[in-house]
Amino acid sequence: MLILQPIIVLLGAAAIIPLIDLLSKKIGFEKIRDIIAIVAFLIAFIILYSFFGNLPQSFSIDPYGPPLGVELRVDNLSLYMAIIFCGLGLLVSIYSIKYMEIDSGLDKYYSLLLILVAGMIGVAFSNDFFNLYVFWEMMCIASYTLVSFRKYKWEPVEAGFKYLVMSTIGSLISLYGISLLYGLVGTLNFTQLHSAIEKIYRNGSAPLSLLYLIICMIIVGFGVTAAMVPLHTWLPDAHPAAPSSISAMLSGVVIKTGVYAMFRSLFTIFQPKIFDFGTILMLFGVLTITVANFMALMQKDIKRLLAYSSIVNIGYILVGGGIGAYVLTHYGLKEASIAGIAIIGSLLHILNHAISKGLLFLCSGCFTHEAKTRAISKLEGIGKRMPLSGLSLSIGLFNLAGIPPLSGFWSKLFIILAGLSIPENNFMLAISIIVILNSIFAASYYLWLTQRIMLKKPTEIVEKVHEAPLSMVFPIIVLAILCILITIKLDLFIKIVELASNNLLGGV
Amino acid sequence: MRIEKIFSIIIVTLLLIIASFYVIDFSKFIPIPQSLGNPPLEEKPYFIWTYRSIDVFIQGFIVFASAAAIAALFRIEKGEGALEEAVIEEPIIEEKEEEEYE
Repeated sequence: MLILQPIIVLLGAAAIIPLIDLLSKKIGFEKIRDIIAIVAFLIAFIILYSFFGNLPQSFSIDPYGPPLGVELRVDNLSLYMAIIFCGLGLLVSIYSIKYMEIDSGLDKYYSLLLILVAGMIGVAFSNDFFNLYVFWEMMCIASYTLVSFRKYKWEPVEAGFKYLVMSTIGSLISLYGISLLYGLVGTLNFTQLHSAIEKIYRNGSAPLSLLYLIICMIIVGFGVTAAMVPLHTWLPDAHPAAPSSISAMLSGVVIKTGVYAMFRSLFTIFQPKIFDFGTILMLFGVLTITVANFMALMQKDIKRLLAYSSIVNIGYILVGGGIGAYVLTHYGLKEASIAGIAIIGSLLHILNHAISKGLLFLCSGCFTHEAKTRAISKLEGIGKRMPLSGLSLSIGLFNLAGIPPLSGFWSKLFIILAGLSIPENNFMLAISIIVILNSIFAASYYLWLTQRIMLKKPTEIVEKVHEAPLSMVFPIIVLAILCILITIKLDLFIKIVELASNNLLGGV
Repeated sequence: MRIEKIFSIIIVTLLLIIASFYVIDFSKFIPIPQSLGNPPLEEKPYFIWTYRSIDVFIQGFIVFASAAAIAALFRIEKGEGALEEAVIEEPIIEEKEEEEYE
């Protein structure tokens, strides 16, 4: 099986679309670029799905392989992430047919969307830090432009520029960390770094402070894209300013790529049984949840509220990963099951948040498409005029609020349960209590938003709106069904997530 | 012809050339043999095209993405575009007072 196939399909389509656009204008069928993008996503999704049951696989394009050659590796974790990326990309491309109709330059829009997803899949498949960085940059360039795609307004341009500056600084910090790592070991291949760093630690051939500096650089560098507080300030501007389809991609999957790169590099290279990065992740995690929760409560703009909610959920994911690493550092393999539960919770929350936040941003896109406003006060009661979008939004909000039995409840429960599993550890206990309090707090504003959208008397603006077009409603219905399906088939999804978490905890 | 279209032609041509090599024999993508050592770099000055070919390939697409990005930001709008009213936060009271004073 060719690991590179899904990436080639997406990139090939990205390159062909501008050319097809030339021809399509002549024959008067401009929608062909939309169709090519959807078909490319569908093919890539099917190829990714076909990897299941035949993992892990490592491939190289040359006869020598690492450390000089590039190594691509697909394991359960990378496939899990890639399927989330590609699946949301597929739904967003369907949604964009009608939503982006009003904009010009759609050949570039679809090309960049395909490049964005190809970059994210590449990041997930890389088993080499340099290769990961190259894919990372490709993803970043596409996302900067997609944020400022509606450049005729001041808001997207300002947000895109802020995102560009902050993300570039983050990338450079991580690149500096990577170069320090290369200077120490002489390789950037994850498999070789795994054993080389352990050897350096045992020999004491490098100062421990340098190794922790590299860890901090990786956390901070990738943490900018993951929107971890205090590196989050680009996100509340970028996500609302971008077209809603792109907001769904950014919040649903792009920020998860930051978390993935951080977790993959830390857990694989700096083994948690040796290096205590779990404490750093937990502290950043609770800070992220708490700050973003307070900020979310003050928002009057629906997309800005959802953007802050994304930061909150990144906090949960970081806390989950942090608890897993912390338990392994301080209690070793005898408490490995607790670490496993925390990681499962964290990875399941990645899926839950990708689906729910994708759904919420697409719903908010339907509202703004019809009502032409993002102000929550003006969108009151819109759920009554747009029942499908409103109901789907409610499902997404309930899922993120962690209302049982929805799957959002289970992922948070796993993280909190893991945190409470060692009651004599006051640090973990304190972190878990803060997470519980924040979860209750967050649930209150999710329910408040649901009540305003669904139950309030429709405003004057809302009275005139109708349900969004079918091609926009279809993806949100699929995502709403997925929210419920994960809940119904929770055991199956937990098994998939467990396999992925084994890859993270088992190193390479 | 716009810049992204030119890059698109170049990229598609390159893809077709690469495909003409690889479509016939997919075994070129082979699993990593563990027994082989590392080639000495001084004997392989062209290693960047061979041993890091995926990186070079992706960097080509980074250039394409940049061209598409620039073209997207400098495109000419035909209509008024999407109307989505953002919420503008009120200036804080002190600023208001300052403005009144001026």
